[in-house]
Amino acid sequence: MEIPTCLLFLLGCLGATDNALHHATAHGIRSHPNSVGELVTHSLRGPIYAALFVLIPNAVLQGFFAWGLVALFVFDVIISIWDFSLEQGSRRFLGGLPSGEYVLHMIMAMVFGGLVISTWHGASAWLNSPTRIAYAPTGVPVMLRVIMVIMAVLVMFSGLQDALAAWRLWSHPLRCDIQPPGSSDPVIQLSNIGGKRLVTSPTDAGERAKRGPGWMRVILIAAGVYNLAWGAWVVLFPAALFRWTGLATANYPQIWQCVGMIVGVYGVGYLIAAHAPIVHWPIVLVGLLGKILGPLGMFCSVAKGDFPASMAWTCVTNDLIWWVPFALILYHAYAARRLGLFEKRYGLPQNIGS
Amino acid sequence: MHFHFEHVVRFPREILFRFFENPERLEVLHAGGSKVRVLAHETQLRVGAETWIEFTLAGCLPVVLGFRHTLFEAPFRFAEQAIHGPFSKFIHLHEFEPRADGTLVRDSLEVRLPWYYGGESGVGHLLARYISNAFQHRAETLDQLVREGTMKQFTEHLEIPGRT
Repeated sequence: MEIPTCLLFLLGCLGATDNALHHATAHGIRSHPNSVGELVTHSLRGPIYAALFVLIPNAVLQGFFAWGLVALFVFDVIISIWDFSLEQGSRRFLGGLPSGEYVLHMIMAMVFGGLVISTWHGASAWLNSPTRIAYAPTGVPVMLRVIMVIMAVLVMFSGLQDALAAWRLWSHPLRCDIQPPGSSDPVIQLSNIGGKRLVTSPTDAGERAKRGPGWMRVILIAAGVYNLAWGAWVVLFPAALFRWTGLATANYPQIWQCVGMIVGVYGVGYLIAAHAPIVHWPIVLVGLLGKILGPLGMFCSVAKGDFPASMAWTCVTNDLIWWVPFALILYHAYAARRLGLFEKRYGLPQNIGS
Repeated sequence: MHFHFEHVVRFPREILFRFFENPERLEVLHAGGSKVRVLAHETQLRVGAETWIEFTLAGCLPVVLGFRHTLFEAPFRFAEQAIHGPFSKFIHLHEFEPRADGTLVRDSLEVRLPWYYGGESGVGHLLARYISNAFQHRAETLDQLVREGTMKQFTEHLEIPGRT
């Protein structure tokens, strides 16, 4: 369990950086009433990671306890999806999620995928063993294990602070509801749509334009859930597809599991994009490229006889059915950007450029 | 820690005050220097009104600050106090005094950071230079706006009492 320990340590460092730089310093979400939901998800993560920091470097978990570890991972995935779904609304008033935080979350999602796979590789046999928990330190330096215990205490404390802040802010009015006393003037919200800044209230057409038509969100949520399910299936049952299609099982199933992890991480990206498809069009573009290049590779392999034709059926649900909706989302994003540039150039009334 | 900055702008006080009271001008004043983005503000500056801005620290970390205006006496002075952000105290008083050659713009700031950001020492080591540079840049931008006539374009549509 050395690799999971190191990945968990890396994840802890990235999480602490995210918390200190973005949550506390940049956006100060513990004093922002719109972030109550996000604070709740962060507070739930505290005990999960406190347990992981203590258990993974120090313990062997078998039987029921091993299933408990699986449950912790599943619970964290659910919390992460919930967190991603709340972040857009939580940070809208504060100018949206900073690009640095966005990138950091993507890296953390990938490290988390690596943590799950490496833990599964090292501990999958524990699931069918008799139930027991034993102190069995991994081969990492003692100092690292001590630091991770300290990290467990800190993450627990941070989670507690988030919970208290959420409790304190619960009854506060949301920032977008601020009205000047004795005045009917609304707070002006500046949005950024396709590089164009608009004067708009948070509930008006500007926000709707950023989100795009409802069908886009449905498509991206469906794509996200599909990818997460497919990725989880490949990670958990790497031999299944080969068995069903009559292919010899891969010599290194870990590589195939890694493919499953990447597919799952794409699913997280689609779910993030679902909250503002017009803004997050690069995620859709990368997804569409994968869905075009994947079948091309499959076609070549089937044509050369390396893969049976039955293998190509996976392309139908993995790739082909998403071509049209993804292309339409990209077309809408392109059109929205063009409209933004047009308004900026010709100074339509809502343009603040003066 | 207290900061004081003074700068004479060759422009009439009443018009300069109207230029400054619009929070959107922050982006104009800091363009090319520290990146400032106005996130939200009320249509009319008044005591109790809020202005939310984002400035980019060290070129990569966007930090959001929320201010509530605590004083508004046109065309003499206005002030705001931070209500959101990493500072434990941030009060900014803007004063405008007529001079024979224009207007003296005086800025007085009281800035404090909480202990976990280094407290007084943190302000001295981390922020003092940043704040000084920002005001230096603002002074240069103001001079440039006046010199190039851009300030006049910004303010010529404003209704100023006594202006013909």
